[in-house]
Amino acid sequence: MHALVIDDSRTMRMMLARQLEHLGFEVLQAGDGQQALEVLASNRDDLPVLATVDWNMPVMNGLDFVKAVRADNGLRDVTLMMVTTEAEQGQIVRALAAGAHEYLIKPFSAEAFVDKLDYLGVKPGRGAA
Amino acid sequence: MSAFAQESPVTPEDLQLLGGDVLAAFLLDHDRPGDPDHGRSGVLHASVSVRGAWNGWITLEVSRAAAHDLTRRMLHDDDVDDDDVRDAVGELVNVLGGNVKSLLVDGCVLGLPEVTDHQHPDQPSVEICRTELWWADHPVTVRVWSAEGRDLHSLRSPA
Amino acid sequence: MSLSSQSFAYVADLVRREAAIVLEPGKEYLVEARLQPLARAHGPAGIDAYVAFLQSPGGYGARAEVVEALTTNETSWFRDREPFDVLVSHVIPDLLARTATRRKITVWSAACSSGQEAYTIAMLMAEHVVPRGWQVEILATDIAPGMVARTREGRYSQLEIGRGLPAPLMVKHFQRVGTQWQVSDQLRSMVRAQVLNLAAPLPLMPVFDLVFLRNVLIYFDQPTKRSVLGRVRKAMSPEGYLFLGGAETTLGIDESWHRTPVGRLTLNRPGPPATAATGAAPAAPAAPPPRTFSGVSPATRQKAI
Repeated sequence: MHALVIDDSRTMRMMLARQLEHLGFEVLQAGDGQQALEVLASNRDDLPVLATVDWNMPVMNGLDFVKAVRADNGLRDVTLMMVTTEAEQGQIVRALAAGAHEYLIKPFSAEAFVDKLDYLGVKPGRGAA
Repeated sequence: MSAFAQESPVTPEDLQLLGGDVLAAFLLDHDRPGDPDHGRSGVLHASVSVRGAWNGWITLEVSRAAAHDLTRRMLHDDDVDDDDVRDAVGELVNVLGGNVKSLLVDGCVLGLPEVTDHQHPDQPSVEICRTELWWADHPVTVRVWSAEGRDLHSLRSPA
Repeated sequence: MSLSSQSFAYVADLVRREAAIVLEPGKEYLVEARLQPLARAHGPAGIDAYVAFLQSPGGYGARAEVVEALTTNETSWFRDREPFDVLVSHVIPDLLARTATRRKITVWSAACSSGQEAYTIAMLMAEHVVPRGWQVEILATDIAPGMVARTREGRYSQLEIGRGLPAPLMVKHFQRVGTQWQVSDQLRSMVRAQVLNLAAPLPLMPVFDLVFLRNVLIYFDQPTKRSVLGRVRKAMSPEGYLFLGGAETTLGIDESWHRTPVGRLTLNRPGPPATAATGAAPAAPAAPPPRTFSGVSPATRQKAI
């Protein structure tokens, strides 16, 4: 089961990837929204169940990425979780309205990340055949 | 201090609290700081800009020695290079900057982090808030800068 | 200035007893980092001297502060999740049917800590009960005055709010104030907080339809467990529901309770279930359905697995 980590900081990608691998995901990575769309396009047959999405990135930001994914019916099963330092209430509402399912503000604890995955029901091994 | 400087969005206490949360969350706060390689000298300067109704920067300064130790812990990898360290310190200032920005009026835009060997920002600015966090007996200085005077207006985004 | 292993052992035991949170060896630095400011405020003698003071008879107030400092960020919203799924799928429909005349539901969150459980219940009531014209009263109690004050205040840090609270519910029921998140007036008006010792005779209280007594009994010995359960039972409506923690049961302690399994959970009720109990939730399956919220998000969750 794949998860896609989208963040322009390699450090943050490594930290999230490490946690997701620990939970049993195979992790794909992208450094901006455009790259992430390309990763999704080349994995159409085996789409990630989850994408963690940073907001502020070069080339294509996370909000535009979420809008692009939501506009593509073939990607509707990808669960989108914003993981960003954007912490204003208005920004959270915008991201959810654009189609993000969850929103996690940096900094966060490892437990908070797992809590969110649990709520979203995207844990490998749980309910998987 | 310039009469044109904007009010700080945070108090030093807020900044201390935010900085403590950032270090605690990223570094798994049960980790004890390691013994930084004191052979490394110099200081890294990381900054991120805020543009909009409020214009300024959030900066972080940390010794290279402490930055290496921080990075090793964030990446869970003992073998980190200079690029890793710059990326990690950039992410720290990015997260701090986003949280400071969230205390401003809605609608400000956060820039992308920059990490250099020299003092930031280059533009005219006034320090309006400062706190010191500690990592492995090294200070991690966090500061908020207001854009100054006429630059307040020239920096303001056209929108 | 570092923490001795004896001091760590004492603090770990204190937190386990008072807050049901286990600090495993290896968390010494966490304990040290959180105790340092408290020790400094107490005096210049250092952290081990401060832990010695905690163990003295005069250290009661300081012990409560230490427990609070070490348990912040540890209590989560929708803790254990399943009780809240069952609350929505089974218990609320039944209570709505039973309270159709008085249109009021009373809830007790016993050992409320910093209030996450009480406000989680309030969120679900605001979603499923209040819109039907019902009144909801939630009494949140804790033995620690600091916890009661925090519950009353209803303010949570970024890290606390991130623990288990779905983002759509966060933006719906909380307002950002500075670096913290403040619970809405709607939820706060449902919750009343007061200091209460479960191991002592209870003060005069309303008759409860719903009691959450989770992860508390494990800290009492058998006779105390029995007397606590007896007092709670007297404070409840015969048709009410008691939720215990995952590792707790009335079985073998107080046989007067009626136990109904729902999924992996057991519901405890003071009186025998009447036929209306099962009739009230006819569509509900034996296992709780996936949780759904009508939050601000228009995105419909597809089951991802």
